[in-house]
Amino acid sequence: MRGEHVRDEEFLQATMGCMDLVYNIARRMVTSVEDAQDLVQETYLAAFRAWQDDRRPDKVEPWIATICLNLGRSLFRRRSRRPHEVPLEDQLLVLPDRADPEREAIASLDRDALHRAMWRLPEEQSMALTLVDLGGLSTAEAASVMSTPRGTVLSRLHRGRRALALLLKDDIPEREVT
Amino acid sequence: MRSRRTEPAIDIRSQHDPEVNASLYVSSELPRRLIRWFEQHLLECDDCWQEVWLARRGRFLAEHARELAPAGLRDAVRGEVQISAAGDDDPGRGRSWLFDRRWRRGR
Repeated sequence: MRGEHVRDEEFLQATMGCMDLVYNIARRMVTSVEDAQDLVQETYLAAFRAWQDDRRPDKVEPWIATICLNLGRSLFRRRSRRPHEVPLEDQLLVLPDRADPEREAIASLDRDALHRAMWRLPEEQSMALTLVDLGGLSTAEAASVMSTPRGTVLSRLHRGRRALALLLKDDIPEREVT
Repeated sequence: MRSRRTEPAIDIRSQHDPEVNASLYVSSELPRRLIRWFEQHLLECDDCWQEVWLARRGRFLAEHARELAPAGLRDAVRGEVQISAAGDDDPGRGRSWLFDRRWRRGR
């Protein structure tokens, strides 16, 4: 019993720091907050079972992200209906004459609009953004999690970023760069 | 975990792909020796400049979509793992599937 306690504490210490990453992946995979929370719990239990079987990773973040992604696909995907995805590749954009896109974007971020926009992206782009930009994984790690070549992740990542910028271009008022 | 594949390094100087270039640059994954080269290239290449502009903006937006896991979820996960660990020693104390539901009702 004592050994088990040590083992679960060791597991929790190693993995609890990944909770936000796992939660954000779950939020991209299922539409309801409750389902996302269920998915997080299932992920941790599956990860703990692997941990108990001495299947321990070199690096925890990509390992637990992979478990979450696989579980999410098998458990929840059929139940969830993603909102309509929009192809944005061919949209024309006239860039404003500004050199600081971040500063413009910060002007008035509407969080709900941001989440709606994330849901409108194709799933693979949204997941690439979640793993790299939200979760802080490298593109090589994201490639491993998504079982795709790194070049594919780089492309998905860019298209996702581009699409997000285009989707929200009308929601973010421009402002002078000081 | 599956063994990591080794892929050839992407050389942005020999292959002009504004998407990949912007993706690597904005992700801070360009090798140091190529950063200066690429920044010089940006001054001359409108395609790459536009893609970098969009990528920076998109990355910034994506970062702001990050959500913090609810504090109650952390407690629930901790509880589930501890119950699961105890259940391995005592089959009568397996995982309670009501745990998360109870936690939710209490929120």
